[in-house]
Amino acid sequence: MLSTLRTPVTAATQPDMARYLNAIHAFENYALAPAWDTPWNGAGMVYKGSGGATASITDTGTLIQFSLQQGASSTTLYQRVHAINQIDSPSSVPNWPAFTGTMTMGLDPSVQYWLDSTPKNTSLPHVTDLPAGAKIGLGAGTLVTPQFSYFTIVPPSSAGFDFFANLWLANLGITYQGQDYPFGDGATAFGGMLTVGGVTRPAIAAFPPWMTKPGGDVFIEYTVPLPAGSSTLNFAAGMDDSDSGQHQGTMTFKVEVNGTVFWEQDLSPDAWQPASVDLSAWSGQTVKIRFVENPGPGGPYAAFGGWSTLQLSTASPSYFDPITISSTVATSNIIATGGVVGVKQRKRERLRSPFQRLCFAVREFVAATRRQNRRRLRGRAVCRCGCARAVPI
Amino acid sequence: MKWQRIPPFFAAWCLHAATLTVASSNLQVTFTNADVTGITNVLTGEQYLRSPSSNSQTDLVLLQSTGQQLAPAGPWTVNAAGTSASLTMADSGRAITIAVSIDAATQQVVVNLDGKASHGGVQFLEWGSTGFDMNIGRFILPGQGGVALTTASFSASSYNGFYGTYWEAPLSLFQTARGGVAFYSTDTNSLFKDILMSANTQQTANQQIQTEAVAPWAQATEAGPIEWRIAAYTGEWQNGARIYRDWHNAKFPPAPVTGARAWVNNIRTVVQASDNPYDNSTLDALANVLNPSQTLLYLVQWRSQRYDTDYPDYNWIPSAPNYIAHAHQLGFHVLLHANAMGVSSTNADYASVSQYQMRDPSTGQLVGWLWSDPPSTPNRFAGINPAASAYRQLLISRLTPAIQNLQADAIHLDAGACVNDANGLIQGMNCWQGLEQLQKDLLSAFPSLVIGGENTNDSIAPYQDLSQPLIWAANQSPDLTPPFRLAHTCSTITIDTHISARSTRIALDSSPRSHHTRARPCFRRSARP
Repeated sequence: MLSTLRTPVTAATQPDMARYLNAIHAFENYALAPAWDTPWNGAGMVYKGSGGATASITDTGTLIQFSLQQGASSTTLYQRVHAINQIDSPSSVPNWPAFTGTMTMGLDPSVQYWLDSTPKNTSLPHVTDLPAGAKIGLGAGTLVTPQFSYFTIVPPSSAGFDFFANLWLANLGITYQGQDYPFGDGATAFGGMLTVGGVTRPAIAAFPPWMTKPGGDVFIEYTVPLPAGSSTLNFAAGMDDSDSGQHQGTMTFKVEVNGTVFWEQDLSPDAWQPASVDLSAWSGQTVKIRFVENPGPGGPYAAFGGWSTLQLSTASPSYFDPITISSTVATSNIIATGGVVGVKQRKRERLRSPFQRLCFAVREFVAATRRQNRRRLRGRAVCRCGCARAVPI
Repeated sequence: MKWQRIPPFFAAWCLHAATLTVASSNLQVTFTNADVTGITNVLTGEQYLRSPSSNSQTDLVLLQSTGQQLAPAGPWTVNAAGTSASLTMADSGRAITIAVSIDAATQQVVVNLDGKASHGGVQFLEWGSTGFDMNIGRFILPGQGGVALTTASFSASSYNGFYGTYWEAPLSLFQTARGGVAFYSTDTNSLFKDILMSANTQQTANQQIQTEAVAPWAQATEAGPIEWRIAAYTGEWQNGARIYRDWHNAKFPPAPVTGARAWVNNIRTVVQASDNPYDNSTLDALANVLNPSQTLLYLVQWRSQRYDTDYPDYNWIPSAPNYIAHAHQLGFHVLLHANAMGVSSTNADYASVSQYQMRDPSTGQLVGWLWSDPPSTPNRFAGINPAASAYRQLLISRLTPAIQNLQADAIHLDAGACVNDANGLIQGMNCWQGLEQLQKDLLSAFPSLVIGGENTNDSIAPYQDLSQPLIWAANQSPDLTPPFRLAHTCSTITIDTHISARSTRIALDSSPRSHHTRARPCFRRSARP
């Protein structure tokens, strides 16, 4: 595999180019080529070169590292961090505005970041304390310059659980006389369209066992990590219209959490039945949510039933206290507006009276909130003026 | 049900109606009808399949369905010599035969398939395995530059298909912590093949392999015959990839990269020359930061026509000769961009080769780049099947002045995406075979020339010194990331090519970015102990 450039080559001292050229020079100097026929021992890539040199790309799960080995010495050609929110390292993420001397914080775990040995730039305002999980919204408004600094703080992800995408990861099975069995005996489960009461929706559909164990349950059990805060499982259950002629009466639908039934209803194919289950008791825990269908009173032979509008809604707690920002400006001039911290150093220095500063702060608050709304950020205003601390550099 | 051990005791059969289990010293494979529903790696003691789907993975797909389902015409039977077991799946108009044996030398399970229909309309032959346990392993495929399919892949998309050029070698690996199983084809006819991976229940996945009928499908009555092999191995995925690579290297030895072509072994960096007009000072600056003898200059805009227009006009811009001469003085080597199949309909040459313009295998419609756009579209061009000798001669004649006068060291054959051409075989070759012949013809005309291509596969890799993987295609589908771990080196080790010049992004590892690859030396090196 060959590295790639495009002319004209930008300044070789520019950090990204310098890092790249450093790696290219290793390929040139040691004639590195893929070592297809030597054990890689789990490395992502292994190279062999002249003079016994070797190089390898490894990934610890959070740190990708390209290293060159010559005899007993090892040289790091580059490092990247990923799948991590904070990293304990004196190395720096270039231009990243949230760090201390030994830690870089506010990283987005879904993004990869270069980790360089160049010193961190402490001359610019930067966040020095941030709750775990909170992210710096680089690319979502955060901008740090000597004249103006604007931080967007993104709360920990409260993305819901995708029940459709995770169907294939779910534990599918049947229950007969209180005993769980592997999926089978004619039981079926799939993600598709289901029509209940004439209303067709995407649904997780299932058909209880009918061959040798009629009358048993079919279940779809998800392992769901719940975020901190209150969570609610919303759904609608229903019996497929097309089976109404084969199945007499109602079918039983249940939702269990960690083995306990929290919702149960006998339903006929009249309409989707909306319902919800409060999951707040398991805040921050991983739970097993089991959707169960049984032929019910109309059994023992069953019909297709399903679950639609599956949604895990979460109300996250406040995450923005404390946020600490290093700055040369006075504490009273720091504005924290619920995930948006604006610091206009030079302009504020000209504001003399407390009243002027208050008016300016209010205007900034309103402007920041508008900007925030425009970006559809979900950060909540949890701090008022002065709640963030300014740390003199 | 009883086991039969067949002399010389390298295989054992267990037959029970529609089920066959065959065992070698390395692995045990169970077939339910024609589907693979059980695999045990005897070398590691692992079982790879569980909870198989009840839906058949085997089918002969027609343009117009028969409305019937294939069913076993009888039970699995072992031949008189005891060397092979066979089964026929059929309905009133179709029949698929599957024969299973053991290769005594390798202890691999050999599966021979053929699908025939009583009337034309055959599209492809499907055969598959169901129930791969994704809790213990992952698929590693030489597709789109190399991908690994994990549980996350199937969570994001329950269906992942690699068609035509997106499957770069007929190989799939299911890799676990201790070893794996390789499926590979020993096809030597460059048949069009596709692989589809789909989520099953219970965190398992199915693998379905398609072998396309030779187009035009409306007249095709057969898909196949084709041989697939199932091989067990221990250790890392590279051990599985080597099984196919070593077979491929032995069957299709790569063109030597020696003598005047040996310089490519030394290349470590590819630089796309983007300045227009070409400016010698950029080369001087480049020589200050890179070793010219290890750097290949890729010239894309060297033609007097704009990019992708008026093929096969290969006249050059005025600044090109001096620029290339200066590059050579500094020690750089130069790769010129060309198009493998492109002929603009507005170019005078189009009339002489239009009869060889490729057609869609199903509809028979002409194909080309932006072909559905108005003919006045500047970068619209026809895809001409290189199986036609008239076209190959035309292209080489148009390239010759440039190669000779500009002293090109290498030619990049862009747009090498073949179509299963509804014109049928041309002079006995399909498009891939024609592209391979084009490479041979170029090497014959210019023995010192190094050849690159936009993409690669098992058919054209032996004559390709450089290639550009289709990673970019996956990059255009952000939904596929991170489930697809792009640029998996699997593609490189197996078919050994790859350069890419579309990206300036830093990409030295397997992160989802384009990269250049020169794998020929690796391929060759490994072929020579």
